[in-house]
Amino acid sequence: MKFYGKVKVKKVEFMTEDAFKMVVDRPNDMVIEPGQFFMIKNVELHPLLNRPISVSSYNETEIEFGIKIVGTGTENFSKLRVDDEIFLMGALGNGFDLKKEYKKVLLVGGGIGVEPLKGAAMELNKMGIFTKMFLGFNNECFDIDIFKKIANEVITFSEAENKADFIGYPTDILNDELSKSDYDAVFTCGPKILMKKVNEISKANNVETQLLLEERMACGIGACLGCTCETVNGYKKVCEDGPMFYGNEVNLNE
Amino acid sequence: MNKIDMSVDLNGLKLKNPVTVASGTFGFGEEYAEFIDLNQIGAISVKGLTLKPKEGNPPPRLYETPMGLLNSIGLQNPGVEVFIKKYIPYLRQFDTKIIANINGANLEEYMEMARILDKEDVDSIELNISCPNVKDGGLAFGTNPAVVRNIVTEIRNCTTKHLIVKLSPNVTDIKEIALIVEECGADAISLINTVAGMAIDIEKQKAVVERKVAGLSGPAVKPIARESKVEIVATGILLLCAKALAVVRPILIPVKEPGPFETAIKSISSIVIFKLLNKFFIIGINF
Repeated sequence: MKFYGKVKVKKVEFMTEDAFKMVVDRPNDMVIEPGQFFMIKNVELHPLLNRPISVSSYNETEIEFGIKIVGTGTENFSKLRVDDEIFLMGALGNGFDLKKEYKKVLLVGGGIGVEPLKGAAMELNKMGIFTKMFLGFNNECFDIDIFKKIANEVITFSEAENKADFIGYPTDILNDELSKSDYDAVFTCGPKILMKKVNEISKANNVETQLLLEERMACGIGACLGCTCETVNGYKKVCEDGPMFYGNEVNLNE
Repeated sequence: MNKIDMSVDLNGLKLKNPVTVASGTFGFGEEYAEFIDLNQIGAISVKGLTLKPKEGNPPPRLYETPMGLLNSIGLQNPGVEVFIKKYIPYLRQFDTKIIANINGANLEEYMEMARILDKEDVDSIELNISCPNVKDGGLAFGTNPAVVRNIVTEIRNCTTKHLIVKLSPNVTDIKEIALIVEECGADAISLINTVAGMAIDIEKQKAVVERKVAGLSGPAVKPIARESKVEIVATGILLLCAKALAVVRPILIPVKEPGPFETAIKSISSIVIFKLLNKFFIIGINF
């Protein structure tokens, strides 16, 4: 059976004004794959629903989440203290498909969407696959030291001046990168507009795209049918069929 | 410790305990099998079925409100044939009753569903004439007393199965509808379906879901359900002790024998939840 229960919070640490890291205890025997998510809920009654949060990284005893405050639920998480309890359910959904035949993977993240790429880079690294990361931020970069440890190369982008390697967006030089080097796949997570553009550029360069979709969820396990997305094969459930989808199967239009 | 007898007889449908999961909140059961033992549930009312597979409404489909949830799923389901071939055998592996929730765009479709399921291994048919998320049938059928009289009479003639009718709170007097349903031969009533509601996205200046109207469920509507004529029928919306999530679960009490609503609620919250469902966490969407 999958895990559902309370776990203790080990750390809550702000990375930017509205984004924070939350580390919780990892229950025994829990299987986690990069790109999967958890349904998380504070122990108080309100707000009603669990929040679906992608796993960022993990080790044998801890799970780390990178969370942006977008409403009451995520704000409540940011106020948790060490040893507070939360409800955790998961890990859920289909994460990134880490194919053995991959030799070189480009990971493109934007904003808080860089977080789920951490786990992916770590696993690819373990498999001996070359990884390069394009990480985009709207202002301050965060966790760059960590990314540099887990990926072979890291290039940062920021909309603000003097904050990153480049001013602008990861997609500004994506086409150059993909056309001059043999990538087997691009993994992407971030704002829909970023993933859409990444997907288009990858497609033009005949590189497979794996992307992580986000949607409001109620159950997180495929029962309520609330988190539908449009694909070439009709509606799919983000929670159960995804959250990882291949770029050629989803409709990323708003 | 002696086992406590929690069984209830819903006017011919015997449940080992009064904990049931409302249609739409629990899929076909298998989604939750990784988390809980389905043998612990008195009955499972499956996702609302239609004659043919139904794709449902376009996304987005959910919007959270203060202690509630608006949904606009639109009866997405694989159709009654898939239910019969795949999910009846699946659910029969467990010691729980199967309630088939049926929906139609018109009277003929409802009747066809009832005729088909009459021959199948289900314990009860739940006639859904109260879904606010479809254009045809649904709520439009369940709010008009004359239409209710007609449809329940016709469905009763199509099947000898135990028959539950799921009603909408969106009427002036639910008692009137409930009494008609009883008179036309239904065995029980399921109260309440979601309350029609709407949320606006101020930035986009439009409703958050494409159909504009959605169905509200959750603790926010619990007082409405409770007010819905205790002496006739009772449906509970229980917020579980686990506090993880809200649950909408109807406690179906026989039409002919007024149900001890408060007792049912008390007994469930004090015994069943602690006893068997410490980890229970069904989302309170109730179609």
